[in-house]
Amino acid sequence: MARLTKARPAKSRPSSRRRKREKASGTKVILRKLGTVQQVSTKLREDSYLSPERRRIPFTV
Amino acid sequence: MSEYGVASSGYRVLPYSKENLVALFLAGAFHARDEYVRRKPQLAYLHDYCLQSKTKSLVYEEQYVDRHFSEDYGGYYVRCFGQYPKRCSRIHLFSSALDKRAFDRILGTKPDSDLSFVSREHYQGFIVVKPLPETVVGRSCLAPPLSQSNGVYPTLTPQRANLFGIDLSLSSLPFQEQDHEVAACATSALWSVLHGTARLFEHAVLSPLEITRIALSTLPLFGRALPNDGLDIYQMAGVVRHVGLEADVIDATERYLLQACAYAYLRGKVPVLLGIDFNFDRNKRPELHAVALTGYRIGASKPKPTLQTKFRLSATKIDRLYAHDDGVGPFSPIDFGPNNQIVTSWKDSKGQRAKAQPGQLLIPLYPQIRTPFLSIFEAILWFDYLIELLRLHRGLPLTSRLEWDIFLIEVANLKREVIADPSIAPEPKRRLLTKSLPKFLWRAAGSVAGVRKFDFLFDATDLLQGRKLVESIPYDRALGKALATELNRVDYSSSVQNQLSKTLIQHCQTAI
Repeated sequence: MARLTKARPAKSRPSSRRRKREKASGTKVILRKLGTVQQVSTKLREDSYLSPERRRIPFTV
Repeated sequence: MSEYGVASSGYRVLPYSKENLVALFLAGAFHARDEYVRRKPQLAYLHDYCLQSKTKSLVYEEQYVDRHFSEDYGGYYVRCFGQYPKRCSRIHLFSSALDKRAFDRILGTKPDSDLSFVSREHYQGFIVVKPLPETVVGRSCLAPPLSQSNGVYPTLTPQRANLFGIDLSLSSLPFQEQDHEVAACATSALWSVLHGTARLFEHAVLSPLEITRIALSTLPLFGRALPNDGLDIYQMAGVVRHVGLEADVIDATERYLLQACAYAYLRGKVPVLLGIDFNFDRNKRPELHAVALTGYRIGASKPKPTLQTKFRLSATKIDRLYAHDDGVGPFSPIDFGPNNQIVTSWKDSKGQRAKAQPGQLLIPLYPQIRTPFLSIFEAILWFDYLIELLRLHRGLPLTSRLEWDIFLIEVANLKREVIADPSIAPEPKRRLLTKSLPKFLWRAAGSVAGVRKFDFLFDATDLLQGRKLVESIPYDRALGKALATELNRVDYSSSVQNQLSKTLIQHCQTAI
């Protein structure tokens, strides 16, 4: 019996090349995003630094 | 003193009431005005404390020699023209209903006398009353209030008292109010903090006068040394160095830093001095006040995502700090308000709790604790973000973001925790328990939904250029294996600008 509807192509697994590409792009994203932590490190140091002017104020209350 | 009917035997036993507490303060003070004592914020706080702690009885020792007041007396008060008494008195608090007859029986050494009235479970501590006209609250060792049972107070140390031959003990940290003579708030806060570190790091305990004198001997203030009007952070750090410790000072204006640093050291049993500013007007002079942080309360269920990487730090679950605040009392709550503000237990002109800006944290440390908390925090920040990126982009088997618990720990306490932890496999547990480790360590434990995933131990005594990482505790073998595979596949450490974090990555390539 002839098929009335066109058969949908079966969902194939991503090609090995595509998988490699995705893998590489995931890695690239990670390497790029890791660079942003440097700003966070800098902020941490800046936030925790007590300025010399504030060190000289006596606690009097 | 006799006008208040102090018994000739030198003690009184009274049921608790505010009137009786006031009467005993007036009995111990010298030429104090009744209305002044009644209006003291410390007395109001102590009354609340007694109500919350269900105090039932007060025992008053008419004559008590307090070592710290004696030092201050010999160096300062004795040289006044007027004759101030040199002996203090002491009020003991009990949750049991004691009366004079029962107490007489105990002192009468009758074999059938019931000592359970004065047992440890009923003893709530003592308050030394100084023989001064106004600043009468002397060395006070009280248990945390019963109403604050959800508070955590790692800084408490065993305190003992001997009441007419009866040994009494409790866990506390000494508190006293500033006397505006030999001590301002900075001296009082530092005095409490150094009581905690004296036990932990084994150094001498200084009296308020000794603290002020040492502070001013190295860096004199503009103006008078005594009566003392206050110390700055350099002078306080000088006192810390004088007792053989080192002082770490950081700016804790940002809430995450206040929570993170306070927790990291308090959990390690180190009391911390916090500077706060009551003045919000930049055009006016700062109104700096110092308190001794003694504990915290974990109130939130989830940590607040912190910094740009949305770091999850357990310490950000703290919703309340507890402080020995000499203007209020021991274990007084400090809550968090909007815009990095804190809500103190001071009362403003409207009778509301006064807001303030947190400022400096001064942490007295054993000199061999060379690695500061912030360097561990920073390394974990890098490592955590890498793990999170691997989870999102490389399918690392973690169901959600890691939460990190970072704190200082003494090796004996670490091993106590490890031996009692059923989630550690027998072989690594044995290895860890028998391993020679430094006396102080930084512990960074990463978990998901309360289940431990990573646990790193760093040598807190290592050189700044040292490797620091001494051990890790495996909890999730599959995760460790997946992480090692990924870290061996790509050299992520080349993008990491933190040496200690690189060490962690290198370690995870093989060990976990």
